[in-house]
Parts: sequence; structure tokens; C-alpha cells
Amino acid sequence: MGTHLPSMSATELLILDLLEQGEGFGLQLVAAGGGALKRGSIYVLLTRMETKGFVTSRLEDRPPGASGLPRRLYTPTPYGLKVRDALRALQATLALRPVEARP
Amino acid sequence: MIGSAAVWLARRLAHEDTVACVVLSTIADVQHDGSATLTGRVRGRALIWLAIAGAVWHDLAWDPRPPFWLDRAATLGRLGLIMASYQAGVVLLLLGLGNSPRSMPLLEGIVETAVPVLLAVISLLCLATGGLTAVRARMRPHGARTDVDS
Repeated sequence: MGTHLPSMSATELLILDLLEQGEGFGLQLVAAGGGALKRGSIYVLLTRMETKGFVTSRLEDRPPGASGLPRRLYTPTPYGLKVRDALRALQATLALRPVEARP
Repeated sequence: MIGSAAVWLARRLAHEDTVACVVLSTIADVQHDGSATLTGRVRGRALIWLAIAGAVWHDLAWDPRPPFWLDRAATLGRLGLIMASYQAGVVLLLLGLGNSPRSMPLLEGIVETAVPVLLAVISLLCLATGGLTAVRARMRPHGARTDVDS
């Protein structure tokens, strides 16, 4: 009875869709998101997703002597993709079709 | 380095791992973006400060660990409450209820009795909760804040 079902917002679904094509960093995802993702909140969102176990991150490899901080690259976890697929399947199953919606 | 002051501030407001994931990642992206225009630089700086606010929000709303500045904020709040209640009491007493022709002796008596009692109760409550916080801080195991201080 104490099973905790994971929750995933539409933005998190979009991020997982984008990351499935390959690992990426924050502003790259914002650019690819086509306005659905905000620059100011993307890393808070990614950190929360990492806490939930949907994504994992690593610092990019930098050549020796490179200046500046290394960017953080994110990859979806198999668990994150599984939750996304399960939620999509649930949405498809529960969505009302025109014939079923009639009383 | 871009945003060194921002990192300094962020480390005093949010947990170290949150700073690493949110603030430092944002700074790295802004550095890599490397916009040369004034608008781009301003947007980059604004983004870093926004990331600090986001890190604090993340710690408050999502992190199960309490923010480490909560104790200090509570102490400041208690001190503010003591001062505010003292000032409010002084103002009430200086209103001159007894000198006013419309003054009611009963109200005057209530105010003169209630204000010192209220002040004493608030002060005692503040001292008691402050003492409890200090005891809890002493009982906290060593190393509990190492992620913050590093």
C-alpha cells in the first residue's frame, strides 16, 4: 500500500525526449526546447530530475589548460525513460476517445 | 572568474551540491556562451543571479535538508521580535492613555499590566527557543555541515 508512484511534469517529459537523442547541457536544452524551457529554471529542473533519478550528470572533459568551468552534461537514466514510457502509455490508455466519451 | 561574488554568496545561501549543480553549471554555460555584446553579458549576469535564487528555492522547496542559514534567520527573527515588542510597548505607554480626557481607567490598567507581561512572555519564549536551538546545534554530529563549509 505504501508504493510511491513517480510523478513527471510535461517539462520533464520534454527534457527526457530531448536528452534521449544524446547527452546535453542546460542552455543547449533550452535552445532545443523551442521556448518551452526557460533559461532561469532549467538547472533547478535538471537537479530535481537528478534527485528523482530520471537523469544523471557528469562534468564535461576539458583539455588541460582550458579556462573556465566545465559544463555539466546530462543523460537520461533507464529508470527515467521507463517512467516516461509508462506515463505516456497510461495517458494513451486513459484518454477519452470520442465514442467512449458519449454517455 | 565570472560570478565569483555570486558563487561566494551562493555558498552561503544554498547547499554545496545545489550550488555545484545549479549555480556553477549556469556559470559554465554563460562562460561557454561567451557573448561579447553588452546585452549578452548583462543577460549572462542576470542568469547567474537568477540561478542563485533558483538554488535557494530548490533547497527550500525540494531538499529534505533544512537550509543551514535557518538557525541564523530564526535568531535574527527572535531579536527583531523582542525589539519590536519592546518598541510597541513603549509606544503604547507613551500614548498617554491616562492623560487623555477620554481615557478609561480599566483600559489603562489593562494596558499597563498587559504590556510588561506580554514583553516578558515574548522575551522568555524567544530565550527558550533560542536555547533549544543552541542545544540542538551542539548535539548535531560533527561533519554535518562539512558539505557547506567546503
